[in-house]
Amino acid sequence: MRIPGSGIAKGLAVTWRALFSPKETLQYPDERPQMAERWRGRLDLIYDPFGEHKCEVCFQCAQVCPVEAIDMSGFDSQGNRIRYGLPEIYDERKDPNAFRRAGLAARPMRNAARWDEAVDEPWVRGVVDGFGGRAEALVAIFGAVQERYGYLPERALRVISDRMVIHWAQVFGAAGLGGFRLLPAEGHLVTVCTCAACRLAGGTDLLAAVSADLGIGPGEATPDGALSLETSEEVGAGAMAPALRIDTLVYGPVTAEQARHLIDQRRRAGARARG
Amino acid sequence: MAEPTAILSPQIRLLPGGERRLLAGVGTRDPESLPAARRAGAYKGLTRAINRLGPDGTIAEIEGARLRGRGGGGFPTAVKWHDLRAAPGERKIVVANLMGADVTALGDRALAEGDPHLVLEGLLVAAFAAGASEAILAVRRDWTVAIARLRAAVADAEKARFAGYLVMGTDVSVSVSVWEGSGALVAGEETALLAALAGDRGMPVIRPPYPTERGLNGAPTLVHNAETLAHVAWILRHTATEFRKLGTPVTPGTRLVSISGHVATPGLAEVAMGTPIAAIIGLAGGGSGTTKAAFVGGPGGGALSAAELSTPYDYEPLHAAGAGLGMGALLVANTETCMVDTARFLLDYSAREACGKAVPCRIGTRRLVEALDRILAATPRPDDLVLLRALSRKMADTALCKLEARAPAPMLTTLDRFDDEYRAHAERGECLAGACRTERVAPLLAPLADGLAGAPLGSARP
Repeated sequence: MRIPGSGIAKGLAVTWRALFSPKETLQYPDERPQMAERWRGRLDLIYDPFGEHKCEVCFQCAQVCPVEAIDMSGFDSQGNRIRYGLPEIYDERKDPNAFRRAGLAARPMRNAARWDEAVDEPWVRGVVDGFGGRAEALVAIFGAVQERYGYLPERALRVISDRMVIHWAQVFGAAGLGGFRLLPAEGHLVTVCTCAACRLAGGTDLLAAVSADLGIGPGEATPDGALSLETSEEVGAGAMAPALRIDTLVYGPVTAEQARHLIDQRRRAGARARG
Repeated sequence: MAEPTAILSPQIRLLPGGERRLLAGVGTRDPESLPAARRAGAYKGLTRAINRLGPDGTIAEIEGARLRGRGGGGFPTAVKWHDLRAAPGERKIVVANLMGADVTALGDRALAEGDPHLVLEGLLVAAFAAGASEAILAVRRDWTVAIARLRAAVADAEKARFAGYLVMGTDVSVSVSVWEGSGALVAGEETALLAALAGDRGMPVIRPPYPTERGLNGAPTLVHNAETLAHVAWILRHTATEFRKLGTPVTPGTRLVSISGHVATPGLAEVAMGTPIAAIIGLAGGGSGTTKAAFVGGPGGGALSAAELSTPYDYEPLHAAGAGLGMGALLVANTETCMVDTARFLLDYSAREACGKAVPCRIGTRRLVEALDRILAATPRPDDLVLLRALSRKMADTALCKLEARAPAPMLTTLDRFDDEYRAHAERGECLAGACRTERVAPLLAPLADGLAGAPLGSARP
């Protein structure tokens, strides 16, 4: 026979017991759990019910990690190998979308990669096919694309990734290394070599002079968009130190006076070509 | 025939003095002509290796020559060949490293542009002796002249049956290809090069297993820089006894040295191993101004003070002094150069070129640069000089690759020798060389100019 209200009494009895029993919850981080002396925590990714990693390698965790502690490598769901590393060299992390995902204000980018950039997709696919679509040819394919566009448009990299069936992250990772531009330069690109040899041969003064002449610092463009200035250690000037590179032509050794002359010449030639 | 100056890129200046072994054909004959190269003895070494010595005899010849890798490590070449030969597997690969990792060292580039058949012959000999059926010339992408000439040399050699299918009527086949890669400091590291060759981002992997066990796509792989291979070809052409006539007993032979910085005529010279550094500087017309220090070995090398310039140019004496041979770069600095600033530049270069894989390297180099920045700004923390040494030691202990282990070397060697300059900067904000401006023209460590990183490194994060 059931006594009315016995269920409530039972329930309250449990509550009362629990109220006076010791608490298991720790007020982390004010209280720390006592771990065994040599306990080592292990981070692992969560699996879905089908045994697949739930991590989509969206990279948001690494983007927001303030001390850059997260470095990723592994296999995505397609079985492609992916790697990430230092944030500054992975422009993907500087992508406005990445900023938005990370909850940060997007950096205003003068030359931000655009989704509507005009890329001749059939041509890019043709270049890929011309190299037999092998992964070893990635750098050569990048070279051909950069020669045509002056930089590696994101759209072209996406096409390369699709056509070669290589993960986008691998394509982007390989493009981030060694002499490839991921953003277009505004106007003619003036590069002052700052390698160890050029520096001692007067490269620092040359940079100061060119910078003062143009009124812009490295990484900036002139207001009229005719010239942009950069530094690089990878010009490989050798006996030409201190060297100056305008677009792809290397000049050296150059004095500040000669540099001004060369840049003026290029600026006028550019103006003629446009006019 | 074109003028020698037109044969080579203008970046390469051959200095008149020094030896003429590897450089004998560079700049003096048409590099694209196989007959001209053969008149000078090209492929005689390969013929000798295949017809007379056989693989074991060839390895014995290299062992007898005591050839050591010219990429900077100084590892005995013959040992690597033995390892590759002993490695199991059908597919074995030999890779010539022409990635020009250290941009101030132009020896490999001069060889590839001026005498491509010499490099190719060495590569074919290595493939034959070590039992490899594939050979790859990995060339830096912006060395366009070198790439074109190597491609032409490979085509000519295949036509003349020195490379390709059934070399010279024997049962040996070596398929040679030219691959262009992205130039970067880390790209020259052998495991990083192999990763890049496979289409991955060029980052080093942990060793062992060494590439001679598991290299490109898992196949045993031998990686040599172009200069080593050129020496191989030279030894086979001229015998090991001849090779040992120059150089020291431990390290016979010659070395291509690129001399730059404060010298009268910067350029490239071939010197016998063991030549005093001062004599090498003399080949470049001597120092301009009063020489204060010489940075031997590029970004991973170290500084020698003016008093130490009698040090012989060889692996062991330079390692004892904290420097290294590296890729053959020799940077001369005169008394108007600030050692702290130069060390900071080289370290900062290593920091920016770091591939980002190993944490001690990625973070450690930046912390070292920050400490040097504080010293240069005369706002040091009391333990900064201790930090520089302790952190460098930790980096060397935990290094994934040689570049990382050697990155602090320019700073450590200058700290040992020019302690007074560090102290003057740190304590009084004074540059003893009178070179540092109070306001630097451009920030040398590009601030992480985006919202993600917040303030530049070295300042407190918000």
